[in-house]
Amino acid sequence: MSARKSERLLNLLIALLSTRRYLTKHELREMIEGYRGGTVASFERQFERDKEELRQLGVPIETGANTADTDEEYGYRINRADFELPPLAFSAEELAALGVAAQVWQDSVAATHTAQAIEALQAGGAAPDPALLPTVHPRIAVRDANFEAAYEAVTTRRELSFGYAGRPRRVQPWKLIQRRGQWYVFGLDPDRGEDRFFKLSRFTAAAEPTGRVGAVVVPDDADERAARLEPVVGVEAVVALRDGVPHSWPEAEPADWAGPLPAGFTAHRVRQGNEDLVIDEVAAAGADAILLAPEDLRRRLIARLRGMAG
Amino acid sequence: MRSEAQVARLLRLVPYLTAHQGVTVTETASVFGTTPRQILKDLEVLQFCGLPGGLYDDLFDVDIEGAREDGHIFFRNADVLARPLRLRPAEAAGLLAALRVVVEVAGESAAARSALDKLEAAVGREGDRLTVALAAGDAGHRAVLRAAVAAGTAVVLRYRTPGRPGVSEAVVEPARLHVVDGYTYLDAWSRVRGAWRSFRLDRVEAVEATTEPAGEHGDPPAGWFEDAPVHLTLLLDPSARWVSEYYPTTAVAERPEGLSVTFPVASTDWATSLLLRLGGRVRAVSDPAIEAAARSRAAAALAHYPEDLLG
Repeated sequence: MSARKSERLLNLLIALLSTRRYLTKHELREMIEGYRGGTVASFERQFERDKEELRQLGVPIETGANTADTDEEYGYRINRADFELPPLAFSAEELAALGVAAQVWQDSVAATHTAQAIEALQAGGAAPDPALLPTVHPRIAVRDANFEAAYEAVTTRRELSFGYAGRPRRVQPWKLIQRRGQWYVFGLDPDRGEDRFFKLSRFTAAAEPTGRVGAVVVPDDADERAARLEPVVGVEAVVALRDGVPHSWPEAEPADWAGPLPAGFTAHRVRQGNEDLVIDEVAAAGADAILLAPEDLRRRLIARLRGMAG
Repeated sequence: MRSEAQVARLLRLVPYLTAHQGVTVTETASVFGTTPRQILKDLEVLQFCGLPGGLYDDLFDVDIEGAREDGHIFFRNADVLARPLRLRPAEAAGLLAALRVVVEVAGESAAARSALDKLEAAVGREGDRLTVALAAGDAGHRAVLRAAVAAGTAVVLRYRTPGRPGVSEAVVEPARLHVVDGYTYLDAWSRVRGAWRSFRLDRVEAVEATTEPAGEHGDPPAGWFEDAPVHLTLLLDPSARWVSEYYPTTAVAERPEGLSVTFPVASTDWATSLLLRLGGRVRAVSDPAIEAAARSRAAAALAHYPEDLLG
């Protein structure tokens, strides 16, 4: 009977929210109709489950005693300041921006959670309205099958297990980051004891949050550590890029190159995950990029182009 | 209906109904993304909820019969739940990442920035788990484009096209800025083409405002690729399966001769880049013109490698 359960959970929450003292289990059983009847043992099991469900919903239930007396039974309460969304007053223009934000995510778990956040703001009195800001239209689609598991792990601070390059791997996720349209999970690799990025599109076995909720401790400098680490490490190559033409290596650095270069090209040092990706990227750039080194990759690229030029 | 989802909604429904006395069942259902029938079921649960004690005065006061009859909800005696629950980390992360994208694209929009500041203060660091780094182009260009959208005027756009030397120039009528996969695009009516086009902002070199009014062309198509006039079907080696997850597709099918993938094609340059990127992993190309364009781009690239002449 899910209606009765909803009623019981809500009444438990209200009882815990309306008290300043800690209430013991048995006081709660007296107060809430849904707990009366049945044995003490069945009540206790039900109460534990209900308490856990409320916590899963994000309700902060505190445990403690009303006096320093160590014999006193523990009780429960909800601190209103921890529970309530603080008052938020938005101007019409701010509501317009929120309305646009509500539509950014497309068909992913992030869209569902964002819709819920917007509901909470509406419940708090705000009315986001995208119609006021019609000129801005950002959309983010997610096509990685493992995005949902990664999202859950990173927002509930659980370890994530997955396959990478055919091997089982795990990460204590700190952030989920999109760069240039690619999603990365960034965090601590506990097996190697170092920070690193894992690219979701390269997972070779389905990801799954493992371990306890809240177990991952996110360092204060997670952003700085992410900025320091390049998401792509692996093969380094020297590529001549046509000046002024956008390319797909935003982190390319100008490099010295002693050999001849066509006019209008500058040598750059670039990094990719592996050798094949270097060849793919340079090939995709057509006549706007020339692979200078390493020599064996250059030979493989020429063979690719020759095969295509017919 | 799982009770977990119902309880999450009830926690928001109570403050919402308290603040919106007389709101209709239908409107409430649309705000909470559910059906009017479900909202009435929620009210049935709420009539038995309230302060402990179970006395008449302790319970929430809701007129369910009234709501059924005239569709309006009056909900009282719920001060104990006057405010909604804080945003959960997963909710805060999604909304804040989306709002940061809006701030980035909307440029100097003070409102988007101040809305973000308020939310960040309300949710703290839990809202910081998700980051989207955008290639949004030049802030000055975005400002000119937004002003042109607001004023309904045309602009002169100078932009680069990959694989083509030099800079193209076109008079376009900007309609909106949008983001797809980390890149910001301008959707605009191209006068020379007489059609809607998307321009990637990080490839725009210059934008010049004009006072020429924009014409009436209706709304631009909803998606970046939905307006693509061309579809390209490739027959791929199984080792290239990743492209079907990486790029927008309209059809993917396993065939004895390989994996058949159909892409919406927004530009020939994109399609030829894809063919160059895939090389020998492409077994067949549905469009001979795109295949020929890829062949000539491969030949042009090959001209950079003098040793090829010896081979």
